[in-house]
Amino acid sequence: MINLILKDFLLQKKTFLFVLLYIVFFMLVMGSGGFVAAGTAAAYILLLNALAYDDKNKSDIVLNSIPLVRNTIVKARYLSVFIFAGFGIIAYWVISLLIKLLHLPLMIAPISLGGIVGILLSIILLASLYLPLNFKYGYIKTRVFHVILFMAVFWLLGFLAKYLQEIDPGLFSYLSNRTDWVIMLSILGLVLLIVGFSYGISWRIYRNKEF
Amino acid sequence: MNNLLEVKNLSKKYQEFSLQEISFTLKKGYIMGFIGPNGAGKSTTIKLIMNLLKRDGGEIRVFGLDNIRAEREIKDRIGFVYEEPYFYEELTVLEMKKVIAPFYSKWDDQIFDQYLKRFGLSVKKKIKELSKGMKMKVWLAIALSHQAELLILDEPTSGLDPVVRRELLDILADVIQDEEKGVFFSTHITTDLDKIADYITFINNGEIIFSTTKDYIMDNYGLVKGKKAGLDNTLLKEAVGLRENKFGFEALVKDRNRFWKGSKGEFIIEKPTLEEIILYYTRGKQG
Repeated sequence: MINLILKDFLLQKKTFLFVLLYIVFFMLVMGSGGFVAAGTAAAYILLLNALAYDDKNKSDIVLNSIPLVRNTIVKARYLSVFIFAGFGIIAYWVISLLIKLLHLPLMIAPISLGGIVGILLSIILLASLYLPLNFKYGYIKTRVFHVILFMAVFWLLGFLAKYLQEIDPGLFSYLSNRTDWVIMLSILGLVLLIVGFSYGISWRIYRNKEF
Repeated sequence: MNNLLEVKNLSKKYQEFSLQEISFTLKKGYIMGFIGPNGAGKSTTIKLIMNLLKRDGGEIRVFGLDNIRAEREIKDRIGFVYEEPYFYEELTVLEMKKVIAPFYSKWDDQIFDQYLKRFGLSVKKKIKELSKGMKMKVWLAIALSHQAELLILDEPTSGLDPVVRRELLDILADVIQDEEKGVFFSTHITTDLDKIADYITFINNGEIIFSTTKDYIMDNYGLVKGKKAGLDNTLLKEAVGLRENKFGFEALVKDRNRFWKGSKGEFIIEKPTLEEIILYYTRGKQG
């Protein structure tokens, strides 16, 4: 399975440079939301690009001809999302470190645990919504969803934050009174539920797919 | 277990085409040519064997094992070369090997390097920079580097020049020397098979027309040529394919020896080539 993810990295050597530029762009433009936006965008770009390479090279035919079971291909794709997110976070950290070291007069959003949770939550939501579509219809046929999903997930997260703060302050204060660990564990549980459900659908689709 | 590949009553239905309960067997130590016109069902059959398509009925056993239940074990022992795709064209030969090799339990880097050297391939080249023949050779090197017992080749010579084609055929002839391996080779370039195939399986319109030794075909099939006047009912009944023009006719018969004894007309009977056999079967008895 690691080899399948290695393949995504080997294919995207040049893409990483573009992703670094994207991160700098989001850092400079998005202000306090820069970290979450940059990390999520980096992971999302790497994921979509990897899927584009799969589609262009009709890689399913060869991947399903070597000693691999289909489940491994689906698992590797879900696992790659976390690794792409990790790359985004590490790249952001390195760039912000460089900015500090060079004493550049730039105001950038700091890396925070909340931000990391935000990135993971966003990219997992995006991937969980998109991957079943991709496994069913491929990259090209589902291009229209790439931007729609990205906007929808940020709108959804923004709406949730607003809902908690303004519309349902009771729930907000209830959550505020919980310890960080309780909130983190709840989010983790929610994320695992979403990923698990999405993975189940993708696996059902891919298991019966014909190439 | 002498059978490397057994296909029994295999069927697959599409709206416009169906594979109709086809059966054939490939034994160890032999090369089987899988021939037929485009759209006859060759690629569908190979995709069913590789579990890239789901069968509607029948059975596929590779090394005596069900091709779906023992998929991973079977694929570990199969080498494949497809006409395309070629995996990720953006990767170099070395990167491609790094990704693929760990999946095979008996991968041997030394053999791979030897084949690359023999083929004059550089590991640093990207797949997309290679010619069609070179790409085929990369896959052939991969197929031969993990001690595959069965090689499955889907139109590997299509679009290649005669020199590269001959090179491939020589390697395949080499591969089966130890009598433990087998080659299943689909092609529509039948001259490739004249040289190396032991068995020929001919598929047309989703049906197996015959699956037998090449020698049997060459010893029995006949291409009957004669004047129009000699085209009697006996011959019309015997012919599996017929071509007529204003001077005479040519007909393909399954048993040229039997036919020769029973006929009264003046004919010439020749050994048909595999290409002629495909042609006559495909066209049928049209004028």
